[in-house]
Amino acid sequence: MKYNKVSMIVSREIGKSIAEELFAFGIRHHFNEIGRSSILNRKTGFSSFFSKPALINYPVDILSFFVEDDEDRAVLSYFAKKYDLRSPGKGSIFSQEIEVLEVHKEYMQKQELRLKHNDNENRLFRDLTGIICVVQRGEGDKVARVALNYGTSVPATTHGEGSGVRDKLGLLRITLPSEKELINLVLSRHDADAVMELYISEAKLDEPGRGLAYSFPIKYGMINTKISRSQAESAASIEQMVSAIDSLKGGMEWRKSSLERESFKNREFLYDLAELNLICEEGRGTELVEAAMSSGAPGATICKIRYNNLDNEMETHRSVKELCKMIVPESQVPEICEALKKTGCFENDAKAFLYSLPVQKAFTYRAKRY
Amino acid sequence: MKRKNAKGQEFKVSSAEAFRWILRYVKQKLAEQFKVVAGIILYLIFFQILVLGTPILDAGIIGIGIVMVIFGLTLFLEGLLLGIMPMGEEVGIQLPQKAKSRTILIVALFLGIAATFAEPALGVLKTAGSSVQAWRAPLLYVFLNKHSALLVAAIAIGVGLSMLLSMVRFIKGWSLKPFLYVILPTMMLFSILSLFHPNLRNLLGLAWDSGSVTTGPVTVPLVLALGIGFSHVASQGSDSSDGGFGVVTLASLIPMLIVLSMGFALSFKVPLPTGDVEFFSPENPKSEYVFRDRGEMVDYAISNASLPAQLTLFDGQMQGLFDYVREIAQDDDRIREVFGSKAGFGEWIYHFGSEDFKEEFAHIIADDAEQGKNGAMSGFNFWEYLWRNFVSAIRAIVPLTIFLLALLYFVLREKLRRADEIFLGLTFAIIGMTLFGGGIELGLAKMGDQVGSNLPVSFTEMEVPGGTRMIQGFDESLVYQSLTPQGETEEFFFLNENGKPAAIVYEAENHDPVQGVYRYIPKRGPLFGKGKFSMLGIMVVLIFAFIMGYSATLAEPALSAMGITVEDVTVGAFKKTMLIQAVAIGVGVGIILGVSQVIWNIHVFYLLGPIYVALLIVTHFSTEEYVNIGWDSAAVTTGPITVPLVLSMGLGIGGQVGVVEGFGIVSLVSCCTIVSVLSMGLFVNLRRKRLLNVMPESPSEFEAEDVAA
Repeated sequence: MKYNKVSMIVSREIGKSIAEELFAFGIRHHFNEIGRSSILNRKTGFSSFFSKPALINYPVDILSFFVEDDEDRAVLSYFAKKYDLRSPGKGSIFSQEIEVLEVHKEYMQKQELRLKHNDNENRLFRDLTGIICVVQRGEGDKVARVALNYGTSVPATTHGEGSGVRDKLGLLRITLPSEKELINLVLSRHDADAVMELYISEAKLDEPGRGLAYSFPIKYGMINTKISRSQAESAASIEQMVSAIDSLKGGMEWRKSSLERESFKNREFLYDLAELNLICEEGRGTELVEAAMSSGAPGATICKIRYNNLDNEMETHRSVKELCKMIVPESQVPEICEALKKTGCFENDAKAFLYSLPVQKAFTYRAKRY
Repeated sequence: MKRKNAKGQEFKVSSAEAFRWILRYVKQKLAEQFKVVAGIILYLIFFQILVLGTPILDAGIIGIGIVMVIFGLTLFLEGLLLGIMPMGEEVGIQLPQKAKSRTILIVALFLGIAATFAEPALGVLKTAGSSVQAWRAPLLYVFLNKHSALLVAAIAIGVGLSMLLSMVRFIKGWSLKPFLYVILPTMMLFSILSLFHPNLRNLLGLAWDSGSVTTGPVTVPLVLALGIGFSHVASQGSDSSDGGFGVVTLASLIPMLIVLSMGFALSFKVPLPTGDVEFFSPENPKSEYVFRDRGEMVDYAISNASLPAQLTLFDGQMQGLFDYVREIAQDDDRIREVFGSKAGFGEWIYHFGSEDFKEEFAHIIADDAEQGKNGAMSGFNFWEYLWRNFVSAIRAIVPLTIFLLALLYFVLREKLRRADEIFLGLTFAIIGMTLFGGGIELGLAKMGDQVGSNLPVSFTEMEVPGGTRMIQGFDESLVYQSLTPQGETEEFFFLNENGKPAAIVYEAENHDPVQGVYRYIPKRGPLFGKGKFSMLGIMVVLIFAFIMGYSATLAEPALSAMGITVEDVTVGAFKKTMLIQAVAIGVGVGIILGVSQVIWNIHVFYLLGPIYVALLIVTHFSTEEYVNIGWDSAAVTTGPITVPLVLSMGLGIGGQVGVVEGFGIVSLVSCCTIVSVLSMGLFVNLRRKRLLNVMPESPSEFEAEDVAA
């Protein structure tokens, strides 16, 4: 089943009101992952010679929900307009095409969206790519700074816990930290290769045990370009102008950076992969990932997400679930899906939900083969 | 080591590789603790040697203690993160899913009570009140001695009730603020009423501190984790991004209310504070209530009160008193019971005894001098320290663990995930706490005591602690006269110590011509400035206090665990370092206030009152998230490292300026911490707002463009 996953990244203050708005809009269940975004505080004058611009973090909510195949543009436009996401600094919204593989019935309630089809749809960007970089906890700000310095858009960092080979080491596992940070970035397709390369070199992903980065297609989106703050000296900030030109040009190709022309190192990327997402009850992630690993999944990053839903009596329920993200070979997906089904996790016990997304390319350290 | 994964591929971890991993892990964790502990230790050494100019006694033992603290802290913190907190979180997650709400509330109540008995704070409170005199603060004395079990029970019930309330709060999704708005003013009202009652006035400090002290280094992280797990599942109200904080706050506020209420109830049975003569006189029959029985009262009077007060108990008959003391002297155990030691008995005889008496018991005093010579080191038994701390570590961790695991297996019928890791963590925690507790006693607390007792020399003239000596065979003909520039004569003599004769001012009252003994009491100070209370010296002390509080806080294990939790729960928007810095600054300021309170003998209410008002104001303006975190971190700060240091400093200064007890400093520290964390929160939010220009109401430029288009 093809669906569209819509994600919104907004600051915490707005996030709270959006949750209510989603219910009113007819979206009966959504997920909320908390994260942080950053902004560069550019100093002017003397002190700027000595220090890098400070990275200032602020909490964000990453809300996501699922809509039918043809509804995403309208939904995106509605929320982009409602929360003024076109202005830099307000947040971002984007949709991805997903394949729902297996799902517990809890998530399958019929939704009636209050859509008006006269919403202005022209201003959504189409040529976007998402990049997720997974690194050890504590390295996240370094990676986020790369994205901000490159100047495409604002990344959102979330926390996760690595699960995989580490869990097979017995008690020796405690010597290896499992906490991860995930840097989520949505940016122009034309900048993706350059940013990927910067990630690899900054986070040293070509060394063992550092992490991985992968990119995936975005269907439509509106992204946050407020990457820094400097003293206001003109009527409109640079970000506002850039954003205005973006929307006039209907895309971001015009800002193709000079970096892209540079020759990159010859990296050995991985292709034909898929991102498998398994949502389950809190505490069940590790064992389900183990089941998936027995069918060829290399490991997973487990994140905590909040699940909010409206039941048939119109009462809201909130709980915390685990989202296990696994990057697996596309060909392995059916087998893993079968293995998971065998655990019975899609029944009431773990209330799991499995969907996949195509991955364009991925990079991580791989031992040389002889 | 060879392991197979399910697909049959092998991956090997050689023992060399495993060893390398373990080494790297140990090194990294040790380095973290080494940094924080080294900070506070080097600072104390620097201050004692270079500023106060006093050598460090027992440096070897202190050194061993410090190494133990570093290893112990490392293990303990790792144990918290691997064992205690995941266990708490697991139970927190399962509890609301599997249990009825009645069960949850009963569990919460019991957990709170059990936690208090596991880590009784009474030791700290007793230290703080060790110099309280029964007649000056009878009610306080009753709480610390006769009714100390009742005090612990009251605190335990308070903590239990607050656990219960917190669970209800999570289930209903209530904000913490209304609780604070109710409890704080109630406390203020109680406190103001207490101010007008001489007995309750003395109890205030204890009541306030009892709350902050209850929450120990095992309880806090456990309760925190439990709350977080619990609120994940249970909260049905508002979208609670504050997730699980706030339990510790209530657990430190509610016991204060209960202790104060108990104080109100008991205040009718206890006599009012008076002088010691009046207190022990037969016209004051209530006095006996303060002690367990009449015998204890007499013993207490003899070892603590003045001679006239002692005599009132024997109808003014000197003979009666002497007979009583003579009876005590028959039995070494009784001497220790009443006077603490033979030295104490010697003191009593020296001060109050008649000539016959002195001669009669000369052998006991001589005995004591003999013992004093070789007794300094023989009393020290390393393994005894370790064993005692091992027992208290077991007591703090094992019963709570058994309680939680029994709950998990038998009531919730769930198995413990990652059980091997959790048990390893619990083992780490027990070993860590043993080493760390022993190390604090041997190293840090000793160091703190030395600095604390020498500290007043900075601003006032004081006796050198432990410096008093008896000069035997004192010859009066060796006393000379000297002249001051004003023409006044002064007497002095030469004392040859360490092969160098030094002139010492002769004070007639220290000379006992009959025995030919001179009590030489060396005095020093003030090191900075002049006069009895030199401003400059006080400034030095305050600056010292700030830095000490600041650097001790950085080493607090529960705060570290809390910082990691906060960073995790807020996904790094609230960094661990930021929280710890804010807390450390708050502690520093709190200690400055605490020390000022002691130096100038200000009643703690006049400092705490305004701070509580300030607290209400910042709480009102802060977001829910910060309110929860800020209030909780205050309860966490007052942990095993900060408290002994703060108390020994408070008591050291208090002893010099004649203030009876060290209460109130701990609660000043807590309150300043909250103000500090909340102010930081307000500042950070303000800066974020400015940076992001989050003003959803204002129409943007592009809205106008849309209309035009």
